[in-house]
Amino acid sequence: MPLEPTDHATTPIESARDLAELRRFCSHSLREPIHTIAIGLDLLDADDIVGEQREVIDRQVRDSVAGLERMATRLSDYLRLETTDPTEVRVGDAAAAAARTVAARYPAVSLGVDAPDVSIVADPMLLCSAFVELFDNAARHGGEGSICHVDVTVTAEDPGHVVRVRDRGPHDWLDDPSLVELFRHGRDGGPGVGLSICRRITELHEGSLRLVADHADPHVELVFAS
Amino acid sequence: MTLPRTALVIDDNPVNVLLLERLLTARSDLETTSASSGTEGLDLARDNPPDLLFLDLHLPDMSGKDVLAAMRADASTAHVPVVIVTADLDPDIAIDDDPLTHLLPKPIDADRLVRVVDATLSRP
Repeated sequence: MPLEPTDHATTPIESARDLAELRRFCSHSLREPIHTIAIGLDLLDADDIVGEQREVIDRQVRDSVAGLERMATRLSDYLRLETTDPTEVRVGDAAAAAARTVAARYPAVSLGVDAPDVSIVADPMLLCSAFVELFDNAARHGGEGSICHVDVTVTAEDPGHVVRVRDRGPHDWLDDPSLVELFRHGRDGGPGVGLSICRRITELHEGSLRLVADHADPHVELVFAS
Repeated sequence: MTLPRTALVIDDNPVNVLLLERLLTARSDLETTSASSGTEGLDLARDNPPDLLFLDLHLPDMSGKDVLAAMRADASTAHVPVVIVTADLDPDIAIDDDPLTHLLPKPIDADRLVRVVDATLSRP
């Protein structure tokens, strides 16, 4: 059955659980890389850090900087989601564009997307963005040389349409539906923004994001009601 | 001749490992080794129980909390003093009832580290 997420975007952070989650996010996703960068730069200043040791420290510092940059970008993506411009958009075209974006991110993964050639009313850019988030989740866990298949289906619903996205990747939200909340991340340790972006996009279309926690057929439903 | 004391650092972040190694080697009587995963760290600790163990809470294969529980449940490592080094503002681990376990927050205060090491290694 669909899980009903709470509206984190408009609900004040007031519960102990929310605070604990934010503290964990700040600790692991912010404090740890900042600490690594500060210490790493100090170590790189030392004359006796040479050779492979220097390369390892240099790489770790760069990875930490890149991680913080990715998080800032993701948060910026989320915060920019304020308006929508719905029009007739072909789901297959949006899915194909998203697949190209994600395939470029993971060149070692063979990503295949099946999507129907039907139209729904949605903002084309935002529909594509939602697909990018979900396809990225699927491809990210594949690993080098893996084949990742995503199946998109569409059904009419009064009002609007339901877009279902299925893949065979791990779905951490099967065990923890709160992962749809901003900053709550699964085992992969990402910033915890992707599903929140998808939910926000559907809300901008007067719809909702539903995580269907059927262990035999887990999938995500994007409801576009506008 | 006194045998050197041993410290084991379990942390997958090489920057943290190197920092601890540099701070600890200020003590000439301390030899340091490291492991980048919980499994590797537990194996090293069981094979050669260190005099002191530094533990990160976020390891790639298991949590530091599980590493600590496994150590305390194993007779060969139950007695090893553990220093949890963490950037967590609210570490999800209870150590109040464990006199052998300490918390050392990041960024690491070198003076505090030395005090913890001295206090731990001076115990009989």
